[in-house]
Amino acid sequence: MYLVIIGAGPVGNSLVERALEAGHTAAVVEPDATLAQECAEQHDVLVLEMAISAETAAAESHLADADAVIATTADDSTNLMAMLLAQEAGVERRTSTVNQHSHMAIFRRLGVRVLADPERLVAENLLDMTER
Amino acid sequence: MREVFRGTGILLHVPALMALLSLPIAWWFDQLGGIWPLLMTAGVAVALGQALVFLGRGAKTFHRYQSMQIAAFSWTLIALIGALPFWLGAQMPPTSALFESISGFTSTGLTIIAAPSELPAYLQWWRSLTQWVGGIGVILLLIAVLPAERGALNLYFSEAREEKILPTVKATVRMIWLIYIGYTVAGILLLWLVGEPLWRAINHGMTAIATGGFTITDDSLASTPTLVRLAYLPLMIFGAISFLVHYRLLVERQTPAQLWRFDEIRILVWVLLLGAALLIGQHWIAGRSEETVSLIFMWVSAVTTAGFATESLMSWSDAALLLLLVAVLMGGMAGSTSGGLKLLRVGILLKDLAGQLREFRASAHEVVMVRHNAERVTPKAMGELGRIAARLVGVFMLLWLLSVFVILHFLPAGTPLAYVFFETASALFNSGLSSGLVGPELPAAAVVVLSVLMLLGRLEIFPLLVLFAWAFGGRVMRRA
Repeated sequence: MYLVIIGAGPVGNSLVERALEAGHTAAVVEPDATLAQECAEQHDVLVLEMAISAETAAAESHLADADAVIATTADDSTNLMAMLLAQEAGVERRTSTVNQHSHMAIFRRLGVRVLADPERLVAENLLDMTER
Repeated sequence: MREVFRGTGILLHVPALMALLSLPIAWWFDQLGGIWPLLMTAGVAVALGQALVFLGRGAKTFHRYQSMQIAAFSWTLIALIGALPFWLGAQMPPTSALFESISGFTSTGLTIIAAPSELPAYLQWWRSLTQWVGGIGVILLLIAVLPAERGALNLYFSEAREEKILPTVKATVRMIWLIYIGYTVAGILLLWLVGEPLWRAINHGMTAIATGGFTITDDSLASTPTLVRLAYLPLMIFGAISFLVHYRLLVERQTPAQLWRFDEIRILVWVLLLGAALLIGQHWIAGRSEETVSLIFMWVSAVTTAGFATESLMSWSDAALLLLLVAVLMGGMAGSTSGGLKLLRVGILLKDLAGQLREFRASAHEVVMVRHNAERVTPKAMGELGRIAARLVGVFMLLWLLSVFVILHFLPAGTPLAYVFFETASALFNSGLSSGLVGPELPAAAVVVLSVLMLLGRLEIFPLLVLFAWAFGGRVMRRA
C-alpha cells in the first residue's frame, strides 16, 4: 500500500517504521524542518517539509494515488484538514488521531476511522495494568 | 620548530635501521663491497637524526601542521639518505640515485636502471626494502598525520568520534604492522610456491604488497608464465585495500558482508571488474592479440598503482593508454599502500554529484538524502566532503599540467605527448607503469622533475606545500 502520513512526531515516526517493515511505501508530510530532516535520515521514505494545508501539498505527496491517509499530529485542525483533503482526493481509507474528545463526532461524520485521544488511551492502559 | 626537528630526527633512524638490516644480505651474497656503502648510510642517518633530535630538545606535543611538516621533512631527508647506497655502492650519478630512492620510498616503481638483474644483490634488496617501508609508511602517515578527510576516514575505524580514536591509535598501528608483515610473508610464500625463484619471490613479494613495482628482472614481469601472473593479482589487490579494512576484517572479525556497506570497497570491486572488462573489450575491438590474463594483470597493476608490467606499453594504442591512465589517476583505497587520487575521493565526488542530481529532480518541498556508507546524509553534508575532495583533485590536476609543461622543455623533440602525460601521471600518482620515457637516457633535469612529482604525489601535496609556506611565507609573516 502507498500511505500518506501527516506528521513526523513520535507517533508518525513509529508508524513509518512499522509501515516500511510491513512492506508498504510511504510519504511523510511535516512542516517542522528538524523533524522532517530526522525522519528522512532514519527512513527510506519521501519526506516533504511543508504543511498539509500548503497549496501544492496534495500534488507533491501524490495524495490521489494514496491507498490510505493517516493523520498523526497533536493538532486536530491539521488532522481535520488532512482528512478533508483526502476525501477530496478520493482516498477510501482515512484514519486520524483525535486529541480533543469533543472533536470525535466531527471526524466520525466525515467517515474517518478515529483513534481517540492517544494520550488518554495510554493513561487508561497504565491504570488498567496498575489495578490488575 | 623544535617539535619538527625532534620528530624528523627520530624518523631518520628508520633508514639507519634499514641499512643495518641490509648488511646480512651483502654478507650472505659475499658482496663485501656493499658493507661500506651501507655502513656509511647508517652512519649519516644516525648522525643527522641525532643532530636533529638534539636541536629539538625540550619539544612539546606537536600540532597538526607540525606533523605535516614532519612528514614532508622526513620523507625528503629519508629519500636523500636512501640514495646513498646507490651513489656509493653502484656509482650512479646523484640525480639518478635520488630518483631511484624516491621511487622506492614513495613506492612508485619507476626505475632508471636499465638492468636491475645486474645490480649487486644488496642493492636489489635495498630497492625492494625502500618500497616495502615506504608502503607501510604511507599508511601510518595517513592514520597519524593527514586528517584531510578524517570525517570520512573515521568510518573505517570505529564509527566513533575523533577523540575516541586517538588512544587506540598506538594499538592499531601495532596491529597494522603485524598485518603488513603477515601479508608480506604470505605473499612471498605464494610467489615461491607458484614457481618464482626464492630471491625473486622475496623481493617481488615485498614490492607487490607495497604496490611499489620494483623488480629485480630487466623486463618487469613480461616473461613470467600465466600462473605466476595470477599469483601477483591478490597481492596487489590486498595492498590496494585500506589497511583499516584489513584491520576490521582480521582483528575486529567483521564479515565481508558488513564491510560491503562502505562505498569505497564497492567502488574498488566495480572498478576492477568493469575496468578490466573495458580494457579487454577495447583490445578485442581493436583486433589486438594480447592475452586476457595479461590485460587483467595490467589493469590491476594500474588501479592498485603497483606498476608491474607484463606488456610493453610502447606498442599500445593511445586509447588503451588513456584507459590505463584513468586507472592510475583513481588509484586504490585511502589508507592502503597505493597511490592516485584514491577511490575514497572518487566515491565522495560521485555521491556529491548524485545528491546534486537528486535535488534537481526533487519536488519543491522534498527532503533529499544521499546514501553514503549505508547512512542517509544530506546533500549539503555530502557537498562539504565533496569540496575537500575536489580541492585536492584540482590541485593534483593543475600540478600535473604544470609538470607536463615543465618537463617538455627537457625532453627530446618529437616525444609523443601521450607518453609525456602518461609518464608524469605515473610519477605524480605513484604508479610506476612506464611508457618507456624513464630510463638511463632520461635527461637529468627531467629526472629531477619526476622525482619531485613522486614526493608531492605520495604526500598528497599539502604537507610539502605547508613546508614551502613555512620556508617562504611564514618567515615574512613573522617579521611583519
